[in-house]
Amino acid sequence: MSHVTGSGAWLWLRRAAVGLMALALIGAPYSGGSAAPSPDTAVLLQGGDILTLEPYFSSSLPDTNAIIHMYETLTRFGDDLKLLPGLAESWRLRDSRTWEFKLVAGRRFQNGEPLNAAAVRYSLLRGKEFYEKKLGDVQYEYSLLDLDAVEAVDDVTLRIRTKEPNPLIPLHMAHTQTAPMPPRYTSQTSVNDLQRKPIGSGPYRVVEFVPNERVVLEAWADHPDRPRIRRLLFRPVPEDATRIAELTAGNADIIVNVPPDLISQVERTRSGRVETVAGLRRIIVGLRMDRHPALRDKRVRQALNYAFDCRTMMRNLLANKGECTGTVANVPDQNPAVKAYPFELQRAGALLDEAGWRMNPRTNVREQGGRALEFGFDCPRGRYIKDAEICQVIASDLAKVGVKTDLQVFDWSVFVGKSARRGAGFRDIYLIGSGPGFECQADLALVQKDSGSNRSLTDMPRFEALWDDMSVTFDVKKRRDICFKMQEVIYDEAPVIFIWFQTDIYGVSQRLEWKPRVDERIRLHNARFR
Amino acid sequence: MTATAVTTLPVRRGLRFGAVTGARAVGALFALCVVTLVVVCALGAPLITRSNPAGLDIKNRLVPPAWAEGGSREHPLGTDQLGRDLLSRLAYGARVSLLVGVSAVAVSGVVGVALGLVAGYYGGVVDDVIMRLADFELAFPFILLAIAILAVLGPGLSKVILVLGLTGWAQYCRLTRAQVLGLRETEFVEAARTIGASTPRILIRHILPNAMAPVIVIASFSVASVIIAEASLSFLGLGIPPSVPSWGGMLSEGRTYIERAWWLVTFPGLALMLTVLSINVLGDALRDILDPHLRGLS
Amino acid sequence: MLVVVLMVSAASFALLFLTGDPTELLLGSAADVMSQQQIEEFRRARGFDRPWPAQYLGFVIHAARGDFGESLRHHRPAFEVIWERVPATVQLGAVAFALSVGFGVPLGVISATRRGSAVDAGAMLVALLGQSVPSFWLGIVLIMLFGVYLPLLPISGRGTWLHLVLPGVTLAAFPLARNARLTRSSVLEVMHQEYVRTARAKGVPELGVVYRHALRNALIPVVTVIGLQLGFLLGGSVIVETIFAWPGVGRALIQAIGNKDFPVVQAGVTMLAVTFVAVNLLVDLLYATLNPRIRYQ
Repeated sequence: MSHVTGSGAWLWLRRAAVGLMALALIGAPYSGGSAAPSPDTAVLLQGGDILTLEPYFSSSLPDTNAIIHMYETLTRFGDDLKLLPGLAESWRLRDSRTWEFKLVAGRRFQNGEPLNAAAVRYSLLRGKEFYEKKLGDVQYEYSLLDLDAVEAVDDVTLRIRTKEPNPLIPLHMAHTQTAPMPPRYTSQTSVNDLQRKPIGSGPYRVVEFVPNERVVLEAWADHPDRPRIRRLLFRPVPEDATRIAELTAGNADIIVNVPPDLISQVERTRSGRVETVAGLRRIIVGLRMDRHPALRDKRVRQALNYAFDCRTMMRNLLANKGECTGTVANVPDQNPAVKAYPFELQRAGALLDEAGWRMNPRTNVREQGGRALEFGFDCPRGRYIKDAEICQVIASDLAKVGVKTDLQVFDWSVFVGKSARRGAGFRDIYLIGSGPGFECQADLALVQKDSGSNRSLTDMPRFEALWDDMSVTFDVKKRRDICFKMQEVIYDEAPVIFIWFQTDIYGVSQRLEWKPRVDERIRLHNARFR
Repeated sequence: MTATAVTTLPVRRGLRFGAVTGARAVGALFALCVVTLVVVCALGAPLITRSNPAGLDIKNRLVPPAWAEGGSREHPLGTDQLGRDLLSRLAYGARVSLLVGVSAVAVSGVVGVALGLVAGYYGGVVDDVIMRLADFELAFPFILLAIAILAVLGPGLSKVILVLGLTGWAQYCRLTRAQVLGLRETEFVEAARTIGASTPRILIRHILPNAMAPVIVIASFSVASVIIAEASLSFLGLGIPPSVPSWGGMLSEGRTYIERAWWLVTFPGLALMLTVLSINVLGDALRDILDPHLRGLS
Repeated sequence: MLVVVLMVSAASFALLFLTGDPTELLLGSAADVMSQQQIEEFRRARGFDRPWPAQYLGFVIHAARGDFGESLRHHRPAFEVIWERVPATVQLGAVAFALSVGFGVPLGVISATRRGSAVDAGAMLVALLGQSVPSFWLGIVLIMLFGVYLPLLPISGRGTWLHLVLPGVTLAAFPLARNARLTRSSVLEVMHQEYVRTARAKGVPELGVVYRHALRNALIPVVTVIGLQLGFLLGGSVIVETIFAWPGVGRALIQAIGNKDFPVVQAGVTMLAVTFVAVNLLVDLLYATLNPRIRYQ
């Protein structure tokens, strides 16, 4: 075959290849450089996109991390979760339903509008309107707020009246959905524009918003606390491996959700380190009381906890980055006397025997009266750290004591559907995470019989008696005592399989000085470059 | 629809083993060996390994292969992120991958060929409707269909096969229809009609055998791409439950460990690559044996 | 053609609906503190309690006027949510397409004309490999090689043309391999046909033989397959978009499905279907140009 015939295509290919290589060589010095962040910009890679910068339209974490830099609230949570003054310097309870806040004087919004009580009033009433008209994303916060009226007594005095007495109003005023917005600008700007170009009173202003690609914030010169980092760049990178690659290559300053297995890998590179913080999200296996009869027996539930070797899992699967627990209350309300269930296989077996569930040596599954001790186990994937893996470990541990599980793993959107209506779609047991309530009673609502977040239909009479007691107690010390007692009851009744409080694991560049917070928010007001 | 297929008259297909010669024969033989090995592994998985592929042992996570530092004889290829033996997962995974590949192709093949036969033979409205359906199947992004169906039906091996089967039948339909159009007016079909043979008989006994060759060729290549599609579904977190080993699932689960535990992706990746490669080479050889005129298909 | 588009969008609507309406997903943790009655009110206020054919009909009526409704998650017109991602998707798709055709077809021709040589064997091996590797795996390996170990290229996101290289190559691998193999076998097939032999016998120079007679007909099956490849590009791009954080339509669609964001799903699916049908028409036209014999079909 003559070589002439292919020569046309060959020539073309050769030329194209050479051309591309030349381009690559020319472009190479700019490529690595353009990806590396500039000296005055901190680059944050989050898992999800930033959809909106308007706090009343969002409650997703990626949005919130940008929003907390652009807005301020009347109060705020410090890094140790103590409630601190923000735009309000002090507050007091005026009568059972009214809280009065004294605002800092002389503050302005980024567009010059005065930040006074009237502006705060405007914003809160706007939120209330959204709630009533089912607009925006304020359902959760404003149903808890249950506002009756807001009054601007003078420029720095604000009174908030709620329909029912509510001791937690100052805590609520730390929520971004109560952030003051400039009345004139906000009322004159379309909802669409507000999502991209909002104006708040925080230390940063938005200078660039390319949807789905990046958001750039720049420090605002006239803010009383000048932050030390001039620019913040937020980018969405959904894939774990890609985020880590970016940190390793030196292109990022903060990356979220580093899998525990890869901590050593990040720490080995010179460009990054790992920062962990014990989070507030409780991860548990809920045990439904209205399905399999075995779960109604306290001894069975306790046995499940004794059979689960939590410590080995913590050490091996989660790189020892957390601790097993025996409570669902968050710090500082945890009862120190309540420790995690120890791993005692014998005891688990004995309890199950006692409860009448005998081991069938042929199938290796326990049974009673012809019914097998088998649970349907529903598990989400990719929502919590190592969720699917934790479920598999628990299933394997339970099998060793004769409890069979049929484990099914679902995508989060499907799982949420099952968890709706108080877990109506769940089978017998399910893995789930629950955010903090920021207060003991709110935390323990997870297992209170009427609570919407109680997806197991748990009903513990001893607990309920204490709960009713606590609801009418206002003395802080007495509340704490009841809180501790309730945790003892919960431990004994074992309405869940206790696992841990999820640890948040961040990857941080060596040049950035920053420590993570327990509430999953990334706050860079005090961060700086070395 | 390939022009060559439509204009070729139905040649009585003899099997031309002689068409596979030289380097291609060596390659085909090698491929045959690989595929046989995979099938043997799949069928004989319990004999090859003693470890239970679903046996968790988190104290022994991420153990390297036996020849590397830290490895042990007990786990010749190492263990995965939950301490399961990699070799046994690989062997059992062969079962799943082959099962998914063959079954899904069987499903789409049967559905597609049947519809293609009907469309090509009857023509008219029936043809139009079926062709619209085929266009619809091609227009619908496969991933969306997969996500939607699996969201409704829940995860599971059979559902994955169903999804993969439902998203590939259109090509068989079009191909068969084109073949049928070419065969419809030929003499032996006319003859059969004058004798009074019923339509299904004509379709199955006379037209189908002649139309099958290109379908078989495409089917063989499809097995490979279905196995890869299953890997993609696993990447997106859909499909097979985590305890059931599948090469695609192993690749997906191991992708973040590329640096930390290279054996998690290397062995399933190699297995996948070699198997798919061999299936494709065999497909080439099969095509040559059945009818070199089908070279336009791949 | 319209029928196809309607069928596609109706089917996707129905499928999404089968697992329940988006009320709980939208409310998120708010549902925990709301009473069942409040939740039902929310459902009714948004119109999710109507039977799905009614909801679908309402959607179609608006869609005909170009209004796909407001995205439930983004609080913006659903059409906008999809449309603003089209440029990125087109960019990536075009690059992958150009690579797969621009390198794949010539590679196939060269292989065919140097049949049996080392070049042929090598090229076909590479092509076979390209069809045997899942795209997510290839993407991650490329990131490791060219983004981390040899920091030559940007790893994720969109910006300069360099950001297109890794995702483009990853997306192009499978179609490139396929095109190469297909072109090779097609050219070989045609080279053996009667009329080529005739032309050679007539003394037409080799180059002319290849390019005028052979290539034209050889490209017919290639063109058909390339048209079908668009479906793959759009589907395969979901994985590439996820790995490389590329802001394309695919990922938006997946997220919308996960969020049961009906308007966005509809907007996306409809747009995809329309694009596919349009490309199909183009392919048919091209087909007819290359092979006059079927022009009147």
